[in-house]
Amino acid sequence: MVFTLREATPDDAATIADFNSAMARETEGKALAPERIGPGVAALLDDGHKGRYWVAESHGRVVGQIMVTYEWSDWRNATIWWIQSVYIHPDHRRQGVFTALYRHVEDIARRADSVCGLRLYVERGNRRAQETYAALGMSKDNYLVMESMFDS
Amino acid sequence: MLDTGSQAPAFTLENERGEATSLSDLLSEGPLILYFYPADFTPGCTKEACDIRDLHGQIQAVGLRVAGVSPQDAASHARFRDKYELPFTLLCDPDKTVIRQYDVDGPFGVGVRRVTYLIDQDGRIADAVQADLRIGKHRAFIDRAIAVRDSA
Repeated sequence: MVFTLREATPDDAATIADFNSAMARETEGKALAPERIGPGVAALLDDGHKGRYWVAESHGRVVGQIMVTYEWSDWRNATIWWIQSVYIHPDHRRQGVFTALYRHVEDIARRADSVCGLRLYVERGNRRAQETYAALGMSKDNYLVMESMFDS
Repeated sequence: MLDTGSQAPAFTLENERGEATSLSDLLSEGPLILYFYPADFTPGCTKEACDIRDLHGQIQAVGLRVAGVSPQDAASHARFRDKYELPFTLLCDPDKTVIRQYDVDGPFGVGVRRVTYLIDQDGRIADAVQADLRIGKHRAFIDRAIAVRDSA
C-alpha cells in the first residue's frame, strides 16, 4: 500500500474523532461518541501548544494517526513528547503505517533541539502493546502513572 | 525465533559502508553472533551495542565474529558506529526480509524483536536468546558463548 504522512489540519478533526472513538472501543471497551471527543480534538488542532497530530493518507483517505502532547522537563531544560492516540484503520494494519508514523514523529523529535525524548503510557496488562513498543526500540522505566482525575 | 539446530537462512545485506555482506562472508573465519535489534540510537539498542563493543576484544579472542541487523540504512548505521565507536558490522534490512527469515519481526509486523543468535561455522543455529526489554540477557548470552569457547 502506498501512503503518505503529513501533519493533521483542522479539516481532519472529524476523522480523528471517529478514530479516537474506535480506539476507545477497541482498547478499553469504552463507548465514547465522536461528538464527545470532537471538541478536544478540534481544540488541539487549533492550538499547537496543546500538541500535534500526524496522519497517514492513502488515496486521499486518512488511514492512521498519531498524536503527541508535551511534558516540560526542567532538569533537562527540554520537552518530552508523549505519544498518544495511536490508531490505524483495521483495513490498513500490518502494512507499515504505524511504524512509519512512529519513525516520522521520532525523526522530527530528534531533529528538534528542544525535545529530549519520547514517552507513552500503556496498560499494565497489555503485553502485546508493550512488546510492540519494545520492538520499536522503546524501553521500560521505573515510573508508575498515578492520577486524580476531576471528572468522573 | 528459529530453533536451535536448524539451518540459518542464507542472506546478503548491505553493511554500514554500503558493501554487500553475506552470511557466508560472516562465517568465513568462524562462528557468528548475529544480533537483531529495533533501531539505531534508541536507548536499549545503544546499551546493547555498547555492551557488545565492550566485549568485542573477548569475542575476537575466542574466534567469534559479531554483526548486528536492523531496518535502518547504511548512513544511519555509519553514524551509530561512529558515535559509539562500535567495532563490528551493522547490516541494513530496510524491507525486513532477513528479519522475517530469522523469525524476529515485531508484533503485528511492527519493529523488530531483540534476538541474538549464535551460528556455528557450518551455518547451524547453535543457540539463541530473545529478550525485548532485558538487555542484560543478551550480554549474558554472549558472555556464555565466550566462556564455552574459551574453555574448549
